[in-house]
Amino acid sequence: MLRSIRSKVFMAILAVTLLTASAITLVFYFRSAVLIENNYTSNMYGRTEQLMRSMDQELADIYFINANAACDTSLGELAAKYSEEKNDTILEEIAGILHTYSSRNHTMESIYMIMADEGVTVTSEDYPLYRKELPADVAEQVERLEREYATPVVLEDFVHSSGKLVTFLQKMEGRNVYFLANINERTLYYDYLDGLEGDKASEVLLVNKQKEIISFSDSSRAGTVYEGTDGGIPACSGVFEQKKSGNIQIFSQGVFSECGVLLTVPKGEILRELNQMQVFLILILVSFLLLSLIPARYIAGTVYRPLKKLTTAMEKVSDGDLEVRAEVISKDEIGTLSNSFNHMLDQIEELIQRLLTEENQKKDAELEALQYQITPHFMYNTLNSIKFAALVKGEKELGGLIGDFVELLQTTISKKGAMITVADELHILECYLHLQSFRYGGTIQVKYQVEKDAESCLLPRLLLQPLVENSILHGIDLKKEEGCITIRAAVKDGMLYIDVSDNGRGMTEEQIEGLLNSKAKKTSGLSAIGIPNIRDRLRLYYGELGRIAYVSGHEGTTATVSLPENHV
Amino acid sequence: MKIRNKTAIGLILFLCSAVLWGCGYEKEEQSEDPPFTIGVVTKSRSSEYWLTVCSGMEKAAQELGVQLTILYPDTEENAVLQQRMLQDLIKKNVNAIAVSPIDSNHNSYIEEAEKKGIPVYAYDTRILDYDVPYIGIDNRKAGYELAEVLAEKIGGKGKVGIVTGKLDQDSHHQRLEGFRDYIRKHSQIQIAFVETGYSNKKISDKRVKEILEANEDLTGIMATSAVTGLGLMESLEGTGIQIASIDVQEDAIKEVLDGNMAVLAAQDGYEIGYETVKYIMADAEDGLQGEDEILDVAILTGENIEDYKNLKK
Repeated sequence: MLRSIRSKVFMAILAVTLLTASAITLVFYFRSAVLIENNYTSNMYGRTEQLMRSMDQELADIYFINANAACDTSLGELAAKYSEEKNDTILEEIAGILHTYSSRNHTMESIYMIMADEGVTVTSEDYPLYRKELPADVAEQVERLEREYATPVVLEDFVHSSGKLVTFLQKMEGRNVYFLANINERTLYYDYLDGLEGDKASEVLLVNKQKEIISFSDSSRAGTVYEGTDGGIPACSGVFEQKKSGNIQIFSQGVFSECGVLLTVPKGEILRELNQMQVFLILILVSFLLLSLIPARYIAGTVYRPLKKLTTAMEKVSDGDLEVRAEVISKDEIGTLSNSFNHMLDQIEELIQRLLTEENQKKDAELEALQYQITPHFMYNTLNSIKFAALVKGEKELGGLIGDFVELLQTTISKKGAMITVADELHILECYLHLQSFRYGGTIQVKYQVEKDAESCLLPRLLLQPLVENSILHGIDLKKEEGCITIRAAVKDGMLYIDVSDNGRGMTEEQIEGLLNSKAKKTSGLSAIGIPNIRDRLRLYYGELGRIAYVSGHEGTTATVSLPENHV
Repeated sequence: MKIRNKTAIGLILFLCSAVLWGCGYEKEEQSEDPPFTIGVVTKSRSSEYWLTVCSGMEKAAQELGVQLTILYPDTEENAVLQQRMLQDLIKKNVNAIAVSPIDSNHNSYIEEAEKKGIPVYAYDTRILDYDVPYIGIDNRKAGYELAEVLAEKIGGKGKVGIVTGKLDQDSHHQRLEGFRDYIRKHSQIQIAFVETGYSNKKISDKRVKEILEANEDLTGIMATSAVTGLGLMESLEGTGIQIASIDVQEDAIKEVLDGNMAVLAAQDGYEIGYETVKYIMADAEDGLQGEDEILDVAILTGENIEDYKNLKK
């Protein structure tokens, strides 16, 4: 897929673009998420804190009113008077004073004054002014709560038998008289909490230090202990992240009332708008990628064009066209490479030209040298003239010897074809042996056992002469006149077998080995051809079928040449 | 080549870490411990002095990162309400309580606080029936020094009167004692009357009239609080009677500057408030073995009031 440089460059540009755009998008997205979350939480925390401060101030105000009422000596005296007289008009008088206190604050709904010993509750309300049956459990609860808490608590409204009251409790010094400054739980909720419950917060509630819900959208839960999803209520004001549920808790606690507004917001809600932007961001990313295709294609093309020209030129050169040159269209590394390539081609061409010139010059020189050599025909003609002169003078033997020598020369020097028939080769051998017999003055007995079929077979010229020469030089003893060389030629199964045997002193294995592998050029014999040369020629002409083998013992040495049968 | 590879790897790592940093959340670390809370009870909040005390406390609280719950009775005379508020603070389990007692001799709530391990500190006015640290001025010395200046102003003879707050508040009692001590020992001045029960409270015109009728040759009055002193000054305008008073507040300083008030002992409410919170926090952290912290008091007259103002600036 990425075979060409162009596609690699193209893909690299796309990859870099995609990587950069993705990185920017990711950074932008996450930074925005953090920013939005921080902005939202700090804004909401500010609002919650402000709201809690104002609520705390209001609650402190109610506390002061209630504490003042509890320290009101006139109320104390009236309570004592009622204990003695049990006169209901005293209760009405008390109710009047309580009404004055309760009207000092608008959030406060009522003040109840409980005379526990008498079981009477006087209210600051228009109706009822008082109730005389105080349930024992209520009296007990009020006594316990007053002893334990200075902060607001939640009570069932035992006077109206409906609704819940958020109450500050005070006890009159020295008397079993309690003052309850009441706020309607619903008033707290709608005056303070309802405004915070926007579209994002999943839960808004007011809790006291004891984790008791003071006010909540579902009023039936007021007075119960808050059990949050995880982590419960924070110990101090602040913004907290709940790891398990992924919610953000915003908590602000009033210093005076020790109550706190707890706002629970799912993180997903804060980032809802940003999540909607995800599609938009992906679209931008894809658009950027598509847009980058155009410059990527252009850049890849620009990079690739000079390279393509160079590659085409190289391919033509590799096909043998040395005339071609790469077109240089850039000044970069590829331009330099093209220039170098062209220069290299120029040099190669120049070199070839020089070699051709030198070769021709050498040939001319050789020809010139040949012109100074004696031509063989001059030699043959002269020798033949000598031969006939000898015959005319009656020197038959000398004439025969010169005739044999001329024939031998003609065969060795002639360049007419590499192959001759077995008969011709044997004729050359005869000439050679005749000359050798004359030369050494001895008699060499030669026996020919040549089949008729074998005579017309072709074999490489001068194949047998070196074998015979070897027998004469290293085998038989010429002085003893017992030397006998037997030459056999036979055809069998498509192969020509020629044996050259002597009855000489024989050869050791080492001698045979040395003979077959000696690389030294022969200088003493008729031709410069040695036994290894025979072996090489057989292999060259016939491959594995052409062989030479030596067998030697006390009876003499036999060289066997085998080659495929091949007639004229 | 190797160096290039290393540079490239380094660059990629740097970019990756930059991207991660970019994606990282920046959450402010928040302590989960509830803050140290000091429950404060003043005598009231009806005068500038008490407002400056609260202001000094809030400033120190802000600096030291502590929370304040400030409660205040409606008047400087409602000792019952003040004690109720102290009891409520104990119920709330605040970390420390600072009180300026309306009654220096009845503070049984301290036993309850001790049971719960809540330390109690007295500021502005001492607690006499229990041994608690005190942060404030030396009231006796302030009264003594006021007498010294006033005596000089009226020529070391004649008649002076004293209008003091309730004497069960040790601060007023000490100021009275200090004043009386100097007059008796170092002058021929006669103390014509001692009116008590005016803690940061103006004395009525009717009562002033009665006093003047009884003491026609009166040359000076010492009031143990600035509010009382300023009230007297209004009533005595044109009589030439020299007024000595205590507490720093803007209107009192202006009167000294204008020459209407002879001498003012500068009990700086802001400083007392500020030093009280600082003392409590230092005690909570290091333990100060219950030693009192006595703050300086400047005696301001027409001669040095400018310097004081410049110093405060």
